[in-house]
Amino acid sequence: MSEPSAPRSRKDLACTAEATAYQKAFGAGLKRRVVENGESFVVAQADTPHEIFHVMDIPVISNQWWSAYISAKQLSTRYFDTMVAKGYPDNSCKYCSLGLACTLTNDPATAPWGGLPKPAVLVARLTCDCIQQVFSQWADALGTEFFPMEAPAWRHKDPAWFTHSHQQWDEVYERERIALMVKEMEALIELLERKTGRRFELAKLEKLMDRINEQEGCIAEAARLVGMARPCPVSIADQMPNTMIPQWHRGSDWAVAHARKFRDEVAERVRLGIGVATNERLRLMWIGAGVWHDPGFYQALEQKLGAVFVWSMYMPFAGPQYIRELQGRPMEALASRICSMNEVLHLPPWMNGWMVSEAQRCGIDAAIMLVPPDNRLSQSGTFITAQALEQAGVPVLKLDADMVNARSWDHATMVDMVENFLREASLA
Amino acid sequence: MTPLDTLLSSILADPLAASRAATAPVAFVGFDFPLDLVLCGARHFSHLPWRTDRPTPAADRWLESSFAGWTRSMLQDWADGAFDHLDAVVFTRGDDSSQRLYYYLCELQRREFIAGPEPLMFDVAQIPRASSIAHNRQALTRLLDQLGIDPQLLAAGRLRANAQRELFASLDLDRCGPGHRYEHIARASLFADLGPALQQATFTDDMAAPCVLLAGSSPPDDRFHCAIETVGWNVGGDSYHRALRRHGAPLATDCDALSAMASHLNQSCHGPRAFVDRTATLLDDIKLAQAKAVVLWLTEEDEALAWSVAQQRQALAHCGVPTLVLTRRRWDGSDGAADAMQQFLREQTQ
Repeated sequence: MSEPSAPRSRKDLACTAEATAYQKAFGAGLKRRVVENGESFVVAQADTPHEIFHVMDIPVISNQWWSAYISAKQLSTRYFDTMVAKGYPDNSCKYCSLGLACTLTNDPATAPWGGLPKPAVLVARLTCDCIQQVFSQWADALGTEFFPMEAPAWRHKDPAWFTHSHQQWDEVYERERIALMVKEMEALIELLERKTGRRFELAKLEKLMDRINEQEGCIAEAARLVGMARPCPVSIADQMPNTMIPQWHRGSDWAVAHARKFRDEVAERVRLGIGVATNERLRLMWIGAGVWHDPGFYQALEQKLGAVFVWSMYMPFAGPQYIRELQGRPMEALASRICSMNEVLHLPPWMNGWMVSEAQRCGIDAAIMLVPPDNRLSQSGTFITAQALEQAGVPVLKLDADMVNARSWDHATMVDMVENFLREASLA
Repeated sequence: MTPLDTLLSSILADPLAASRAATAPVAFVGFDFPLDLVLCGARHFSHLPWRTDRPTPAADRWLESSFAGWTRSMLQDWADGAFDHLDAVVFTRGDDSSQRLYYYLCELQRREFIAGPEPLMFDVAQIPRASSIAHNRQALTRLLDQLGIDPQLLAAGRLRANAQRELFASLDLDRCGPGHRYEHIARASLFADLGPALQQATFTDDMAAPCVLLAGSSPPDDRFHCAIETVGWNVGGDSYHRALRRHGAPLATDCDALSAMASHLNQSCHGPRAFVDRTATLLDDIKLAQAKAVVLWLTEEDEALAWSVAQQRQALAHCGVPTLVLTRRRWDGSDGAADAMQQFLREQTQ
């Protein structure tokens, strides 16, 4: 069963096409390595230390990237229907389980790459009650093992974490939490060395971390420019691929060079006064994962209302959450990057503290927040963040929709909802 | 009514009565909170109570739909000042709703929307790995420090807790009488030490009714047990986190209490984050209870057990025990779950 195709998004930047072309070629190369050549590879959640896999030159498939890939091929509805037919409750969390659904559907004729071959290991941080269930079952279905990582509670609650996370990461993220993750990373490295025959080198990690800092510094500079410039030089349809595609390859020569190219192109547009919309009147904030099945959604109201989506978490997140002063402890610096990735985006006080600050920095007029009904705690927007934004003078529309499940999303309805909200808030 | 029944009713009618009479009482949220600490004698401990029977307007403003129903009740009570007498409330990480509620309460206090006791976090780690066990030990040590409890007292707590674990296990194994009594014992023991009363109690009222196993999410109270009893069946086994067996087997005594507790917490088989084969556990519980039927009831907000339902359905169909599976149900049972259970059991009787 195919799903109705959604309007495509418009890309304004030359480097966007380069990023997507690179990713397409990379996808083909990845497929060649893991499917055709049968190389050992890893399936991992986005909030796990991919740097370790990169240092060891082990191909990694991010669960979120794989989900987006499946979703973009309009297969999510079919796969989730299969899960229900197999006896899973139909409210099971969708965000992390599309890959499992694809594997359980077991239909090589339609699955991307004909379905995933057996990975060496699956890796996930246990940030909610369902992840260990999903990954354990997925590992069983693929006939491999699951390496879970703890997501320890975070007691040092600093709403302004983002102002000193680069240097004072020991304090911000807690020394004890970092130490636990380092121990787990060491166990993971041992497992990977045993299963793949590849070797981990600390010196390589240190170099990679330096390169990542360089890359994220460029993305952070682009985020600063977007926040300051009027009109907005790049929409989130360009921001997302130019941040996320290099992010999957962080620290590689291509990723660092691309981040620099993206920053320079943004700077050039700012210098020339080029805006996303010719009549920018409203600057919007998007709170939630990308709506991969409807990329045209973000630009639907640009011409009609001058409403431009200026902010999505991906680009501005790169600076505070990725840049780390190494202090001669690359493993600890890496652990501090990873050990709170989900928490800062979804839990008080970190989420609301950061987003209110970002809304003020970027001159946001209104926020659209994704609150998916069947996605679980700490996966998207929160009422506390909505209230904090409203208290700061930013009206918020809470959208009851899912980021990977096309079944609960209708382009025209969603665009109408945003338009009506802006009109009711007397902004349009 | 037996004296025990009277005691249980009185505790459940006002779960915080003893806490209000104590000096600097502490409460906790999470069925995996260590019994050895509760019984060490240093502070008065009780679980935070929950209610199903009133609106929760303040909580509804702050909590998303994915929070478990009981969190709304607790947050509403917190906002209304019902917990102001408590010195601190400890939330465990063994359950997502409990952990998230901790963060929300801290933030609501920081922004002065609510007052009340100090929320504390007890960071339980359940991955079967040495680093997670060591983390539990650190978490316990920190909690003792925060609560001003001498770790030496844990040895005595472990002795008492082990005796109670054995008592609960034998009670559960040798059930007689109505299932709602065992639900009362399991629930009331969250708020008071029932050890002395249970030691003295004798149960003689044998039940001839066929036995059903109640499994899945923890029910809010005895409503399903009572509904099942009215159609001539009896809940002869409870297979959910809050049930009598939640404290597990006795702790090792050949090492220090802190280390034993850290390992025990890590290896618990009962919570949503336990690393356990839930289908095998369910089949074991059916055998143990000699159940003639199974009711598998899951709340809408459950995000762990639901992942085992498909496999459990298959296994139950294979072993031929009649089963009613109710998923995505309201936590307070107000969606007709009890009626559905009664209807299902009536059909089994015919």
